[in-house]
Amino acid sequence: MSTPSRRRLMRDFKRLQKDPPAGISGAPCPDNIMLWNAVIFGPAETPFEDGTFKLVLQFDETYPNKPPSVKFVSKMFHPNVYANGELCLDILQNRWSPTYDVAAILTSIQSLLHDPNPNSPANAEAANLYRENRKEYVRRVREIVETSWE
Amino acid sequence: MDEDFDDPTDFANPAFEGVDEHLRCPICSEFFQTAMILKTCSHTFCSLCIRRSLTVEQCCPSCRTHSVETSLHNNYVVDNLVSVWKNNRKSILDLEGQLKQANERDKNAVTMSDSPMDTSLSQPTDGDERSPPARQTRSSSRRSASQTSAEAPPPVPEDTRVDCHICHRKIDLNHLNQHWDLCEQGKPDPSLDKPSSTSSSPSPSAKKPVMFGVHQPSTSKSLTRMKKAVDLGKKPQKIVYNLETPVGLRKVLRELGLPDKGDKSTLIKRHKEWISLYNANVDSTDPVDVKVLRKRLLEQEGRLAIVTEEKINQDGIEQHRFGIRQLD
Repeated sequence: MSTPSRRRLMRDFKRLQKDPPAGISGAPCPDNIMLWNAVIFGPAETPFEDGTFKLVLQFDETYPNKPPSVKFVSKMFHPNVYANGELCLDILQNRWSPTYDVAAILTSIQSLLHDPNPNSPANAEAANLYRENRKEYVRRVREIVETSWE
Repeated sequence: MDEDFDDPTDFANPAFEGVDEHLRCPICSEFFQTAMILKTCSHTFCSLCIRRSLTVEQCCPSCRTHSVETSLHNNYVVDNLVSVWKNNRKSILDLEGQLKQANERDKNAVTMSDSPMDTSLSQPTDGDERSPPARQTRSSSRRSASQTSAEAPPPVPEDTRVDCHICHRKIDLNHLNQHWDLCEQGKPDPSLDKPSSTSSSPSPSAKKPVMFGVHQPSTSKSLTRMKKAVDLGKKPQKIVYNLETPVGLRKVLRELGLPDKGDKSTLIKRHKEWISLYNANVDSTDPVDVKVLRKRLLEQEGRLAIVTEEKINQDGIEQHRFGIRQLD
């Protein structure tokens, strides 16, 4: 059954295939267009460099009026990512706009890796280290970069 | 998956792809359906899409400028463009396919015969390589720009006449400023009476301003007149939901001919959605009967109800942890 949300997601996918933004990839599950798998490559010149971080995006029929729920599947150590992989990202909550598409969501998450926001910490330890002990923060991030290859 | 699924990427030519993309709503990615422009920021959306969005947050979804429903106006030009494009999309795609085939045939012909075509094709690229790439000073680039413009072949002679926005007559571009001065003061333009300036001899009727600009809106006006043919139903009023009891909400919904089942939040959602649907239907140049609209509301509720039952079961996500490993 084709619904407005499903059609929109199909177009999101076509657009993502046509001009894929650098360092991200994503695709719906073959049997369920409402569930997407995505990979974000750690941005260069950040501690996340060389990491391949996997995420799942779960959409429902309220998309794009409501954001999907997005979760890291790979282990993550980041001030704005909860222990269960959920993200604290404004555009996925109160700053959502129905004009965003999958490419926009993934690009925003990629830029979150680049610029953590320690003022709204989801992981207090990561936020503290980011502010006060950058060296240890980088070391902890490199650990999860290595586990992301497994 | 879907035969009638159209997408800008159907076109190989970036120009066509661009047109196809710009005629689509930034929210739903479908062709604009009853295009509405926000007078606060000039962004355009489908009527239903933007009305729904404004019930969630009173700002433009594209630029976040504060906007309310009264900031919306019909954008009939976009509606007309969409309908022309949709009607001709398939022919353009077919033409594009034929063109591609023809090009491929030509290419094959060129490679088979060692024709001089090859060398002539490669020449321009050689020229590009010879020209200094990055180390260009501003003055040199200016010089080169003037050179190229001097070297460029003279422009193809074309009709240099444009429509005057006041009298809507064809005016020579070089003469336009003088013409406007006269036209704005309501004085006759003597140059236009010369038979040489207009190709056809100006008949008395042609001298009268041909109201092109008025002509077009009249088509949309004639479309709006059609609205009266269908029953749009009772106009729903906005409600301060906090002040309403479920009993009061049920009464309001019943009066609008809508189901009164569900808890308070369901009733509120239904009422909000109905206002969006109703207003978008009123905006439309081709509105549907209120009964059709009610059916749409119920279908939509049905779709959402299925979702809440299936809602994000963690097992589903767990299963796809395996699937995701195949992605990289």
